Amino acid sequence: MYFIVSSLIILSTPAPAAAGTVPTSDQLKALLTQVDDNGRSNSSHVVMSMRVQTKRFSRKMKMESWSKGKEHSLIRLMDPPKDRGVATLKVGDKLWNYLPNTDRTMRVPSAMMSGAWMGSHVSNDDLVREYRLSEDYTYAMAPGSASLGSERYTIRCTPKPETPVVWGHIDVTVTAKGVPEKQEFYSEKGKKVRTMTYSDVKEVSGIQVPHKMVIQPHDKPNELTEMVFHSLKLNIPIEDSRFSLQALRD
Amino acid sequence: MIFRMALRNLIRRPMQSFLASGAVAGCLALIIWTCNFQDGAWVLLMDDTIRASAGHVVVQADGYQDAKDSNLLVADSSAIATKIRQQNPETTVMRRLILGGMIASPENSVAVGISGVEAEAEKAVSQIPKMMVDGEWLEAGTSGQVLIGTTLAKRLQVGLGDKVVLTVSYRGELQALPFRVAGTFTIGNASMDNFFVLANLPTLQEMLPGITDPATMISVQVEGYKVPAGLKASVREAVGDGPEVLRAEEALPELFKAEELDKIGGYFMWIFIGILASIGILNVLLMSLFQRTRELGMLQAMGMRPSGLVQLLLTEGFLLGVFGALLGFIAGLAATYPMVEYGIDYGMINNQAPVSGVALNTLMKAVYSWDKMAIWTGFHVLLAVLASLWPALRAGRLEAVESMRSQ
Repeated sequence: MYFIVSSLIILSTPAPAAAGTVPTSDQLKALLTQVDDNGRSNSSHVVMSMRVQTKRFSRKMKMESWSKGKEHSLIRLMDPPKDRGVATLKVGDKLWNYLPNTDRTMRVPSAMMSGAWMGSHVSNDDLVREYRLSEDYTYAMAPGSASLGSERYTIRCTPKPETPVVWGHIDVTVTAKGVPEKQEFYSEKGKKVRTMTYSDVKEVSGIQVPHKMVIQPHDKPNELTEMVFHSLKLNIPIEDSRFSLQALRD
Repeated sequence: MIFRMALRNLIRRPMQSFLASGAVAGCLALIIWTCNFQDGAWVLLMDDTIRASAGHVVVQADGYQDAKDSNLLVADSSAIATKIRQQNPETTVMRRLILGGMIASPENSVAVGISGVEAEAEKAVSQIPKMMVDGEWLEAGTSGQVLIGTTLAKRLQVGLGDKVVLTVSYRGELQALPFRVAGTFTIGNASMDNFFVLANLPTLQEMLPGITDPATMISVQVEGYKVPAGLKASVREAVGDGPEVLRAEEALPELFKAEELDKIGGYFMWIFIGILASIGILNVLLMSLFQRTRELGMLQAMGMRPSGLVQLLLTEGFLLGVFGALLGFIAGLAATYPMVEYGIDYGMINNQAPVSGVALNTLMKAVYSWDKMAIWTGFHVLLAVLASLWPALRAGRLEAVESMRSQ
């Protein structure tokens, strides 16, 4: 859940580099720290839709999500009717799924973390992995970033040797105000594997938030997962009990 | 006298005698060949499986045998292994850590079974080092290496030196570490080539929080596959109370049950084949009896008693059996020889291994099971005598006058 919601809820705080200048390493770190921290320390309630397009099926879902910090989140499907009530709860690095048809709650074991979440291009593992771009990666301006002008930067984040991520590097394109526009994920061989594109930026509670995200796997050019926020509330009080196994079934 | 008459009678009808003893020989040769091959295959299968998946005696956390729960681990495994070695210096002791988890590359992620092994010790007993397609076996003392099957490598779209991330779960906590592919292997078993991941034990141990020097099993191994009497008690004494200590038969009951069932099935088949051979002898002797009724009547007229006729026919059956068994024994040995020397590579049917998760040597060789060959040879002679019993008894009931009139 964090992956989905906080990837979109990137809070816009003062930009680390003044427009028209090339950010220094410290400024890049500050920018990435903002990206890491913003959204994680806030609570949110979101109503969103998700469209999954694969070569075998096309599926559209509407869902409601609550999150609190980086540890807790709950997503419940509202539509289509046959899937209504299907829910996913994340507490720390633990993940549970609830299927109302069988009235069963299932803890997602490590062996199933590779499975696609709700049939999308997001895996269960993506939902629970939390690595900080500013700490678990080394970073520098990506080659060609200057051609973007002074309003946006592309930062190349390369995982440190001990960081357990599969990527060779991630190119993060952010505006000078810290709003993400694109993340491109590369293998170590330099092959672009996945692109996440952010758009439809709207201000919510004084914060610039992209309301649309598209995940495009490059080995499957005709496939994508698209998430759109319909309503978003930030920094609202949410009880911890919202993120319990009991609440998962409610 | 009777023996010479019986021998002469058989030589007088060479084609019939040859066919009858040939049937015995053919059946015995087939039985000897299959029996030797079956024994050889099982020796190999048992040896590989016991070494790779348990041990002649295995130490596991209490309850692991029934639950097969990867959270049930033996702590301080190195200290326990050392005690076992000190108490049983003639044994090889090695540790394994077996976990379920996930392996991920940029292209894909797959659920896998992960084995943490002691590189050098495992290399000596595992078949996988002989099945490496690319790269090298794990290097002791290095961290961050994994070996994966070629099918899995293809799914992950990774090759030598590429990064993968292993995720395991222990007591509800997910742990992940990056690894490099140090080698790929092809076992020939589709599920294993797509499922099995090997890593150095110490590296995998680091992924499990809150337990010191954990292992799923401590395997105690000896030469051959028979478990020495007293080994379990000795290991139990070294380990003390707590972990469960099991003999191979207890740790791998399905393997021993499969061997037993296979051998029982073989015995039934071979007895049936032996009976078919004896029907050939029965047929030849009955025909011979009908053809020689006048001759047998003549023998009675010359003073041979009915019991003499019975003995004559029984001796003929015995000689046919001995001759056929001798031929069959030699033919069986000859057929076994190339199987012992060269064997058969049965990689195509390797999926039939009775215990999953074991890399087996696909080159099956026969062994000379001398005791079984002797028993089956004697059994065929006995069957030949039994098959001649009915014709012999009929011959003993012949009336001399009636027989003399026979054409």
